[in-house]
Amino acid sequence: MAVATTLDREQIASAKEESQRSVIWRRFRKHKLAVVGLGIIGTLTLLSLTAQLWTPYDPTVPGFNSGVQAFANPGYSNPSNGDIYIMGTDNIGRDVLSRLAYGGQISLSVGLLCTLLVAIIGTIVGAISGFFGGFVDTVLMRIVDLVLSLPFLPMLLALSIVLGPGYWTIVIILTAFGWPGTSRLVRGSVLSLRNLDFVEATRALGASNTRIITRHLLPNSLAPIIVDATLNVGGFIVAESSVSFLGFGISEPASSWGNILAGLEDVARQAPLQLIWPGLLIFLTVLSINFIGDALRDALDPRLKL
Amino acid sequence: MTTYLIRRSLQGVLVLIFTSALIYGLLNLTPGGPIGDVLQKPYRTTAERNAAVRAATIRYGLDKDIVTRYLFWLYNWDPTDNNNPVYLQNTYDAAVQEMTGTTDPARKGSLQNIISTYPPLIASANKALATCSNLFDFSSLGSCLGIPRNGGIITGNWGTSWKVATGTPVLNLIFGRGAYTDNSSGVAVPHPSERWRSPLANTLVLMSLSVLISLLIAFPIGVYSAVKQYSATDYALTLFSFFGISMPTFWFGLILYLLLGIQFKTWHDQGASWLPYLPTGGVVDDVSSTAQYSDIGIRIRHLIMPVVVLSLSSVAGWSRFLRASMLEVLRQDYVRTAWAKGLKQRTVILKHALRNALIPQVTLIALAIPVLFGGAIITERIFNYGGMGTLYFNAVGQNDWPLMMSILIISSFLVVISNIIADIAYAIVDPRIRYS
Repeated sequence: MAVATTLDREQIASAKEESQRSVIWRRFRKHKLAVVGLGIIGTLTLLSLTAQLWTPYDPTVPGFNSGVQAFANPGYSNPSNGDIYIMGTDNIGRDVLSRLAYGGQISLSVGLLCTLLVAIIGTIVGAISGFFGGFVDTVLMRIVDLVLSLPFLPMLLALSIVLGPGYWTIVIILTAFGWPGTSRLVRGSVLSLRNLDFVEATRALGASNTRIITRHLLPNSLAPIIVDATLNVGGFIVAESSVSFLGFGISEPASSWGNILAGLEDVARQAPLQLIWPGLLIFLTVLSINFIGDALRDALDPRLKL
Repeated sequence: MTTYLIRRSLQGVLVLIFTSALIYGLLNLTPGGPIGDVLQKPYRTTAERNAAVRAATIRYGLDKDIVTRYLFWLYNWDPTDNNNPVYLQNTYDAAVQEMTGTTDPARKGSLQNIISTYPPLIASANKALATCSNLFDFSSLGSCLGIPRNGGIITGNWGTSWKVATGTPVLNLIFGRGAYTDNSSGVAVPHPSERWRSPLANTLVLMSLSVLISLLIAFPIGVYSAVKQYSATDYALTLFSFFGISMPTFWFGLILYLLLGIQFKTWHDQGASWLPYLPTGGVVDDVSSTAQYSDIGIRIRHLIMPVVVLSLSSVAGWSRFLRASMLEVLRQDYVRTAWAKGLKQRTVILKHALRNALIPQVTLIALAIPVLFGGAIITERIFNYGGMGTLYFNAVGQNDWPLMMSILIISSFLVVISNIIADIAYAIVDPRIRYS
């Protein structure tokens, strides 16, 4: 009997103490594809981060060059020194596997860095605009309108040329085009919250504007911000790889999944299967992120009973 | 509504002016800019280098401050006019230099033409220059040399291409008027008798086919998966739309290109003659044949792959969006009333539910137009489809500012217009919306 009561109490206690975080995680896990996606993203991130440790060749140095044709098919073994290229080499004889791993560092970090910057800038602008309203709101939202009415990809290419193609150029440009969307989202959320009674109550208790925004309004609009940010990562990765593929993004000899694909395109007729790898990595990453974003949207929605 | 439209149009004009100023300003921050290759060339003496840089600077009007240059671009004369001696001299020098390196007979012919016809032109232009009093006042120099002040882009003079097809008016390139030599490929493009050769028309055809096909595919998918929510088909279609949204356009395009264009042709040539294959690039099979531009069969064969590639993400996105809005509408009371009245399933779904679910879709489609234009850059680049995307890609790659600016202005215009169309369409389909 004693055992049974203890168990009951424990069960009650554990049910009560289930934190918000574990509720979210429990709901998130119901999306099997999102969990798989999380695994894929985790693996790819880990493999890219540790590229320096395990990649067989220098990604920037053409290690293989037989003179007649600079590229090699997957599984090629160099007869002169026995070097094996599991995924073959690109158009000028650099190991594709190593380039993909190092390219992952750039592609993934561009995605994450831009998302972080966009979330920060977008949240600050959106919160200020929504909370203070009036003139500040009008000015900020006109700027947002203006940026949103610029043609995205054409501007991306033009700006990349103007600022000089490179890692930081891409980060800056993508951030510059990304923040308006987030700030609109945050503004909407803050607008809907700021006149609620609990905010009024906080103000009556003497809280400052900063405190109301940071402690009350933003935590309550966190769910859409997180979902938006998650989906942004995928969008930025695709944008970066598109620009790099067109030749105006990450420039040689550094590799990104986009410019590796562009390099392999030159030898596409001779080694068509080579093209699969960089595209597949982008596709898998973005697909996983979209699944995760979808699952987060459900997991973070308090109205949804799962 | 009228007041609203006027206000929106004025805002649109402001956006365009701001965009153009922004782009023009940013372009001018580029180190070297259009004279980058002049700066990088090896020179024997410093004097020779300075002379070349000075010539290029005048040729591109870079010796003026940025505001003047922007205003010139907006409404004044063009530094690459054929009365400008520096421009003529530069073109001549470039031709002489290129002559030593080129082996292509067609290119050699056009270079020879420049080399033989330009010296007298240069001589007379220099004679005119000698009579001008102030050589360093750009504006008076223009009028002194008789370079027409026929206005900048505001009056429809969009300048001439610097690099992609040197000397050809930008609008001729965009509208496919007149003959020109494509600098990147060295191909002399003949004077077209077919208006459908214009890059603008090519891109519009590509985009509108893509929109049409996306709608035809996305709508049934969206409606079906909403009506049969959580069925196996719904799951399959949802998975498909996730795939479509996540697929990088350029990768999908390359795979199609390799499979349908190259591999199928290989198999076809190896004996599987029943196997159809698609052309791997271009707008028509033979660029120099004007007849092919009006041959619908050939045009369609060249359009299949680009349209499929361009449509994939919009099919996926739109069907998913329509599914969501259908689900929302299907839950509403008036739909339940319609069911309760005993109406046929078809009537309830298509007449009652779909009509309201389409309201937000209208905005989405209008706003997709500029996105499609961006997608067209990638798609056209892969399939070497001669549209605005390819033109823009070449312009950016070769620092051809006039062409680049013009296409950016056109695409900004597209964004502004489609925003306004989205608002109007929204008010038309949803009578609850009133603009004031």
